[in-house]
Amino acid sequence: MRRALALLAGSSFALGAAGCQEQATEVPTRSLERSGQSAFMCLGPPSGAGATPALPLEDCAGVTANSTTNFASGPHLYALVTQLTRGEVAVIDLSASKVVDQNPSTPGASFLPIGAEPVDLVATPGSTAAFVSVAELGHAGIFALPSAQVRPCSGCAAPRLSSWPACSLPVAPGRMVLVADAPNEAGEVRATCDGAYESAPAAGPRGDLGAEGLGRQKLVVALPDLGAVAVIDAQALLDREAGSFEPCAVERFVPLQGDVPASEPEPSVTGPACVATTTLAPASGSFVPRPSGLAFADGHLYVGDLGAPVVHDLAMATPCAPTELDPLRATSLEDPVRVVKTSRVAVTQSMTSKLERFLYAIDVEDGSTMVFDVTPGAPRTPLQRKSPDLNPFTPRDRLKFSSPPRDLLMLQRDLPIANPVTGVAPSAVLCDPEPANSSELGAAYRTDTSNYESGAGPTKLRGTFGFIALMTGQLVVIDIDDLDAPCRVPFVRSKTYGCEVDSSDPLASSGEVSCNVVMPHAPRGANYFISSENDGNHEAGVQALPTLINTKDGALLEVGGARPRMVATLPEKLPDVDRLRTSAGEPEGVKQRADRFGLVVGGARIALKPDGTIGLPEFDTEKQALVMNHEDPRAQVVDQLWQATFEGGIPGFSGKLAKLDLVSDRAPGIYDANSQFCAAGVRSEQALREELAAQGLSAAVIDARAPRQADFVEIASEIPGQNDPHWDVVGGTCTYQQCKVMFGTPDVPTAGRDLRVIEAYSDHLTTEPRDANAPSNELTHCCFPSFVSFRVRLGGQWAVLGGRSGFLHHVVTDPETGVCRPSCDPALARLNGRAFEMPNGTTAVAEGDPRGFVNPMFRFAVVSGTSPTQRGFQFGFTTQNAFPALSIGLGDQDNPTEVNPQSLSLVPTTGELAVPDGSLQGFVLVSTDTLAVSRQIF
Amino acid sequence: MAFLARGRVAWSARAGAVSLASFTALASACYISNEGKPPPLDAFYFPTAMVVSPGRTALYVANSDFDIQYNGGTVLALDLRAIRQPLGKLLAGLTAGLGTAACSTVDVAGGWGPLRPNPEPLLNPGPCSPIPIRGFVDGAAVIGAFASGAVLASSPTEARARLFVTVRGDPSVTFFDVPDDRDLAAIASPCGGDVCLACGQQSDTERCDAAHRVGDSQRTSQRGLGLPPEPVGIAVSDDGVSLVVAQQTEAAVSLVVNPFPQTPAVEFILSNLPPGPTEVASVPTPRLVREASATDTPVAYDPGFLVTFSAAGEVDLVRAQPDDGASPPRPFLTRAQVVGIVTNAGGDDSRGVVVDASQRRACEQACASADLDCLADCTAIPLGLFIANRAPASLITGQLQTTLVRTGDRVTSAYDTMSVFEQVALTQGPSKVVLGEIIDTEGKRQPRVFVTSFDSRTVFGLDPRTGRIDVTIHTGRGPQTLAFDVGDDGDGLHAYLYVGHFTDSYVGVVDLDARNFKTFGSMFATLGTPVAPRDSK
Repeated sequence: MRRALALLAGSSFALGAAGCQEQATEVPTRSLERSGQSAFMCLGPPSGAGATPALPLEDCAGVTANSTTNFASGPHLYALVTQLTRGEVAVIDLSASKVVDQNPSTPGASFLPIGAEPVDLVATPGSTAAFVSVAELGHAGIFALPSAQVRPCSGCAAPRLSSWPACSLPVAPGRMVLVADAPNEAGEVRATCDGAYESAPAAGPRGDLGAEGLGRQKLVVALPDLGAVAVIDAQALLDREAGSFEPCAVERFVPLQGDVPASEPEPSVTGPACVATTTLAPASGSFVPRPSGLAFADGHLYVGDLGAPVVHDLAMATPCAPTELDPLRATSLEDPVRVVKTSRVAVTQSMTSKLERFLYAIDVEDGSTMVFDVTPGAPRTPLQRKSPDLNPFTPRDRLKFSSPPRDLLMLQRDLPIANPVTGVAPSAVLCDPEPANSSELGAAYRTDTSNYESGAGPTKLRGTFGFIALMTGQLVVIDIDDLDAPCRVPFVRSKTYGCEVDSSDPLASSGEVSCNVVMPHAPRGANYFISSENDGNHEAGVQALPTLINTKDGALLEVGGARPRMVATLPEKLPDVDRLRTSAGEPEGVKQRADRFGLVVGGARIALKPDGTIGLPEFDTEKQALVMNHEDPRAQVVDQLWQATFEGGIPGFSGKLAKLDLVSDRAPGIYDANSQFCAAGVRSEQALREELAAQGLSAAVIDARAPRQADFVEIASEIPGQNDPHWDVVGGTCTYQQCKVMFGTPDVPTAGRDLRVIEAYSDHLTTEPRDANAPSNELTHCCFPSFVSFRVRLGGQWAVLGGRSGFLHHVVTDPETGVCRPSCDPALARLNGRAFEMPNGTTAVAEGDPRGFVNPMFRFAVVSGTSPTQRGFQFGFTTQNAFPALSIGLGDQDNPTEVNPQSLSLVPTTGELAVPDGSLQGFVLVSTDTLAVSRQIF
Repeated sequence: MAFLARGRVAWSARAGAVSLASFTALASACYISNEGKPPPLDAFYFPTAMVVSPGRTALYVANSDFDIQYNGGTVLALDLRAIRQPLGKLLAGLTAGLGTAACSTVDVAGGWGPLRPNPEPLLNPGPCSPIPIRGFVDGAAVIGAFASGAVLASSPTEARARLFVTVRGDPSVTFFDVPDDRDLAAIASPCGGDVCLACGQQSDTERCDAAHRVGDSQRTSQRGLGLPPEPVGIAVSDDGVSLVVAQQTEAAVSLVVNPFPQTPAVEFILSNLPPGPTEVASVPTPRLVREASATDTPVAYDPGFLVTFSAAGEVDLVRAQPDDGASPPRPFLTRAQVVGIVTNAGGDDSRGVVVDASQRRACEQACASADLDCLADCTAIPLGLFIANRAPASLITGQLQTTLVRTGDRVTSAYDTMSVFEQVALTQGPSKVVLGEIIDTEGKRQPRVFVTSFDSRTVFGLDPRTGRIDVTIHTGRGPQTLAFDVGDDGDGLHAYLYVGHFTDSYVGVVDLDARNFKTFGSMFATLGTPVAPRDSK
């Protein structure tokens, strides 16, 4: 053993020695640590630091380290970034892409000390000063950083905490924004909100904010602990003596309203044999407001709230006269009574092309984003998606991703094309797909479908877009008002493709197979949603056609005949999706060509016949078939293996143990609160009876089908071991051998293990033996005396399971009775995981036939063979080309997990998005042209 | 066994920088021996776990003997009331503005003389020289090496308390009968003093006997189970009966049943979990469940525990089920819920975890015992959930929502649903998470969630109400374990945070009274003489 250890040590040494011979890896020095918020300043050339002017941000456009003409002599753009652990503000020369060391005489990078726990940071548009709020316990306040002092200067002392004018606050401050008290018509401003207008109020030596020309700039500061916002004169703070920390002079103090009046609930949807949607009204009453995020636009200050379910709306034509208006109601359709708490908010600065304005707000505890239309006169509740049933994976009144949002940003941009005749490049021109308008300027924005490399496309952003920084380090792009959206539609519109109309008029569009490739307030796709020789294969489909196997032996089963068959369910009126183009790039004439309606399989698009079968001659044998749903491409959430298994199990009970209680005074059944049977989708015999009755079936038919097609429990436990003390306790009630014979083993079970679900509740299932010759409850109890593992199987149906999506269903708990029943909510109607068989001999099954199967991704029908289908028969196929949301990864390859975005802001002069990182990425900049990380500074 | 002892010495002589990870392989070596050098019973040595007794009379410190210099680790019971005397005096001097002159105002008992200005402020931050602990140790025992976690269980029905310590070197959960000081007027002691511990110590070595090493013998287990290797995190249910232990290398957690006053035993091992179970937290049981159990309409609910993983991006909710009705009942664990760490880019390295029930508890305390409707309403208040994660360094926030299952008008059962939705960035090496309190500037006790950042010598305090960090404490090397001492001894409210420093083997004391402008959030005293790891001196 000693020798082994010695050898191990020797080999370790050898490895180490070998490592020494390799080229040393340069480890970059990281000076930024736990970055928080950022703000920007444009200052004169660095060589004149200390005396150079503060400049409007736009003066720094185009100055980079690569611009040889003005890099040395021109102004530089700086980012100020809070450092949360150190209680400092780092300064980054963005023109040079490097961190500024305030004190080169000491090791490491030195920054500007501003007190512990910095919260927010804002800078004036003219770069005269920045302001930092800090929340240090007992030392809360606001520090002013004059721009003349943010860069090191020769001979100057290194900045200290006492270098700055500051004021104290009685409680920790939250977010801040700068809002100007505009000059009057005579161009005069007032030094205080209650003062008189005068021509030029005196400013102190650290800078004149009035010179920026906006009027008197005020800091509007959220005070969460006081439930209020305060208005503080920025110039007065800047003029204070360095090192001062007297109380801030609050000019306006606005306590926010916490009383939320009762409002009407959403109309309840009812129906037969289903649970009506909730009639609960949104949360109301008196709440203690806790202002969080702030956003200002068009004379309105919007304030998120972590205490009350509202986003406050303060009319603020001037910060000196704030007036709280009717707030936006932060509600949740999924859970109306939940007190929705909002953190950060963002609002579009300009109106969209439809003259609308939108506000996004983060719902903290749901990890989602609400969208409000704040156009005057619009409803004050979150917007709801149209046709939410097409994509039930996303809440209808929210944007939700795999990770919670950290911050939001609204971007409005254009890439105008000049009119070749006038030379003028008007902005906000909508792309025009009408073939007759080819000479109009809007036609110049069309997709070049000869190569899909220019024109309207996924990565070309023209219009209004949202950016959501996720905590996991992705930046997701949201379509709000894409000026190119009119051109991102099919050549021929069809309701099957999610279009509002069926139209025979072809368009000079991108030819994508959905009218909802671009959808307002929805994630933007990263690809053209099309299967094209020119742009690749991005249309949702399957990797290969479905196969049918017998899971008992893995045998592949022939199509048709004695076996069940899977067929596509097609619309009665098929759209024309002919992609053949004329040399001019325009679609050919339109006609009904049903044989062209198809399914992408692997890399090819194959046609489907109207009867739902495969219709191409290259298939010399019959195939199984299905059809994908294209109404909303986002419903294709993930590529995954799908398995439809006859009498398959409902997942979610693996590892669960339930109390098998067959002989107590409770109803016989299995009991386990953690199994949440309704949430798992269990359907009882009673529920099925009600559903069949609602379909108008006769009592005789119901009596025949319901017991057979109700879900059933299969006991999966072993009986106690032969030497278990249990057999001594039970005496002669049952014996080991008797139980073994009656119930078999989990691998070779007898029908005695099957218990039909008579009624299902969230925490228990009442049961009775499924087999007429099954053992008595007493005997079953004796053989399985304790908690049992179990499966719940579908009776006489196909269980359709996605490898990632699981078993889709819309079963809920009836709040009145506690039983499991389907929801009446039409938005959940496509959440299905049960496929019934249709009688042998059934021919075409039309789309929408209730006997067919549809879920959000695809639809099909199963037609029985001439022989009874056996438990364990299984159709299998794998979907491909799930919708890829356009997102930008902020992490790097070396440290993929070391990314933690903290905030999101626009670098005004470069068009980049700035993301301070709380982990190791430092300060990340993203190009809105390339939609990729453009720079990383740490 | 002899070989291992020799190997240990040989390793010690060549040891490089000490890190927790470097010992993982060695820690699984199981041995208990009185050979070799006995550990000091009046000093900390790589402390890894601390517990303050409910009545704040005792501070229990588990020392891990991490470089295996001795023939075992130790558990020390310190007289906390006595310790508070010099701490209070020192703090009074510091807050009065005496600076390091305050050191000399503290004359440590035992002939140590007054404290001096701190000669090693980089090693152990603070104004004064360390306070020796010899005079404060009222109980001590020798255990196996590599103690990892500790938890104190109190009986809800009688005046009994037990301290459980996970020991990777045995491996075992070593338990101690300790005084129950919940009623300070009538402290019930099993060991002859208000501050002591009993584990069947051998009189000559102070080593705990085998009967106090749960998992050491398979005979005590109904299923014949021993404790798997590498026990680390441990938590106990409200009733003190069920303890769940994370088995770091086994992808498993163990259920230890503690039937006061009988001997605890390993009763179940839940395996096939993701790799690297690390820490465990108990989910407080709704008071509704306890009160309803005495009625004819009981509410089915089993004790829950949260488990974090160092190699999987998830947190698991497991439940201890008593197996009532079976003959004989054999308790077991089930995996009730798995939640992915969706807040982090990696998320696959979680450490400490804690559940905050303070708001629900406050609601429940306002309800009469028989008012089940009132108690049912309180279950609508979610429990706070906090998890330290290293991928990237962050403190994750979430919730546990309790759902009452009604059948008709009756509540028949309840279950919890976990979610995580927020996180705050931390510096490198987040480890332990503990619920504590500070005293705010108005003298009110306020809850805080504290998390250690082992690698970056920092302890952060997060206000669960705002979700914001507002206390940043710069510590010495390797802050590993935390314990709180907040209360009033008749001389005014105080709030002390004890920070066990693994690397240099001492306990730092932090003032958490925000009224103290000069000392709030800083280490103002050092307990025990810091000793740097031998090869880093």
